[in-house]
Amino acid sequence: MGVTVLQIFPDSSRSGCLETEKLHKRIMHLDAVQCGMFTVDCDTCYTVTQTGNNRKLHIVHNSETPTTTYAILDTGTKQITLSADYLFDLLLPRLDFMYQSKKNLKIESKGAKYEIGDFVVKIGTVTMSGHYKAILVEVEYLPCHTPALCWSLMREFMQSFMGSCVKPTLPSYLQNRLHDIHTPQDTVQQYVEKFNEIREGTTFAGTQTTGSGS
Amino acid sequence: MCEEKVNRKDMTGRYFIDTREVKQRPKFNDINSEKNMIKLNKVSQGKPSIQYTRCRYEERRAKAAFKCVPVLVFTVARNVLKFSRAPSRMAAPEGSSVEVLTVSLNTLRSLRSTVTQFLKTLAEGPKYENNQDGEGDLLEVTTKAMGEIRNKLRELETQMAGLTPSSVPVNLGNTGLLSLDPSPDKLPQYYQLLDCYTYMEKVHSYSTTLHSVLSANNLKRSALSAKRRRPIQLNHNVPQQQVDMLIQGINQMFQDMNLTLSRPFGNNAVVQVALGRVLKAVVTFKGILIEWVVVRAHNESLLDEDGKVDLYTPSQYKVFQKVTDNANAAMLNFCSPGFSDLSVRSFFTWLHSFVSLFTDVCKKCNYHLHNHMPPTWREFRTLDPFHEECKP
Repeated sequence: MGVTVLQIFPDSSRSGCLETEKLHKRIMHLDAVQCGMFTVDCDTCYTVTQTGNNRKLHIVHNSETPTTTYAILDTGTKQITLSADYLFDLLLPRLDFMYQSKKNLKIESKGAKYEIGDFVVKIGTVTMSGHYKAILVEVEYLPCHTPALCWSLMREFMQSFMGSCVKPTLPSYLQNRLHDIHTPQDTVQQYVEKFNEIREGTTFAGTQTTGSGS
Repeated sequence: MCEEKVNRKDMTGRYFIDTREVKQRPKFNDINSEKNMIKLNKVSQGKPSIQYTRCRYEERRAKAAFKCVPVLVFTVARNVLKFSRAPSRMAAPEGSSVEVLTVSLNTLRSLRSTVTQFLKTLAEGPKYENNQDGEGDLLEVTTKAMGEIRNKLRELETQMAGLTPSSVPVNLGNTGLLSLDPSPDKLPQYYQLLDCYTYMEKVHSYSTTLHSVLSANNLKRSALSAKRRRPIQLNHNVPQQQVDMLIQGINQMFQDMNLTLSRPFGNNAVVQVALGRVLKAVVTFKGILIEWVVVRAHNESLLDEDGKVDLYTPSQYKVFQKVTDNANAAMLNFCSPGFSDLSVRSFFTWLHSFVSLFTDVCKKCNYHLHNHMPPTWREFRTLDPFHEECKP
């Protein structure tokens, strides 16, 4: 796994089809090869502790790592990530007394996966309980593992087919982890961050996205 | 007189002077100077003018050139003779050293037997025909024996001094163990092998010297000076310490490049290179020259399934496949058998320039990516990054 960067693509039509088509065409013009589909889904459970803090537990699955379930505990101040076996899902009903999941908050990104040279591009449509929310593009550069080394290279690539929606500044997630080795957990944490933004509506498709967050 | 002069001048005549004009040339030594003047005028009238003084000058030049030719011939002949004499010179000490070796081995054997005798005498007591005991006799016997031992030891030392080690150390590695084969109807493989290796090494060294001689300019005096001659460098049969020292030296050159030396496949070194967090490489040596390079990503393993260093599997990433091709090209570019030290150092300096593979822009187009690839080419002299298509 290489360095991964997520980017929300602005969509003024609020339906996603046209913009997704546009992106597909641009990618194919760059001689990309489609190599399957991908899915990333996130289920959020809430708990309230005695002190009154809201704690969120995100259960994430990524089709890139099909045998892993990620559990991210968000205490507001920090995030703790657990990579567990896929069977971890069977434990969750036992935690029902603590964590209440709200079904209508299940969010997922689904779409096609393309390979161009050493890049892997995933163009996903984000839906929450069946309703379209945004277009989320994930770009991965396989040979490199340190964001500090290849950030400018990746930005150039993203700008080549996504245009000016790619900001020249670093994503907030990578700013603190510029010299660490990028792992699949970092990818999943980025997804959770983006999903949170989409849920809260700060980066709504239609406006020039990437307001404060990405 | 006139004809004689014509004959002498025919030798030089082919350079500058026409034979017809030779006949017509006046002689200044003649008493009848007027006649000479008339002849000179005749020459100057009918022909394109060749002044007499100019003829004389050109004559002298031709003679000087002629004198150079034997010098040239001599130099070439000397060098050829040197080469032809060299094998016989090499063979002679080898032949005589075998005899010296056998003689010294015999001396060693006799020394051993003397010492054994001496110790036996000490242990069991002196044996006499007339059966006399006494410490005095023992002392006498022991001093005599020790005197003998001393003599034999001195003889052995002088013979050892006469032995010369083989001038070309041959590292056969495991195949050298063939010499231990004790079968009575011994196959001649070991000796044939030795001959093969020595022959190959000689071919290499002669060709290196010949190359330096032929490329030198024989008309300049500097070509004949013996001081300039570098010692002949062995390239394939080098002692392991030399390669080790070279790699250690290069290791200390750069902070972010680590070299690890190992010898998993016999005598030749295999170096694993880790360049920062950008790439890893495996460099295989043959003697002191680089033979093969494979470049892989930082997360790809340099070992194969059995834990041995994997020399051949290419990287799964296109960028590193390209860098491997370029590294092999650079290795060939820097390869120079006469300056192996310099060639290896230059190669590693070039490889070190790839630490900026993902961060540098191409010098020509000022972009990171061209055809979705970063600049994978580094100029050999300036180490500037270029894309494959932007190469100058």
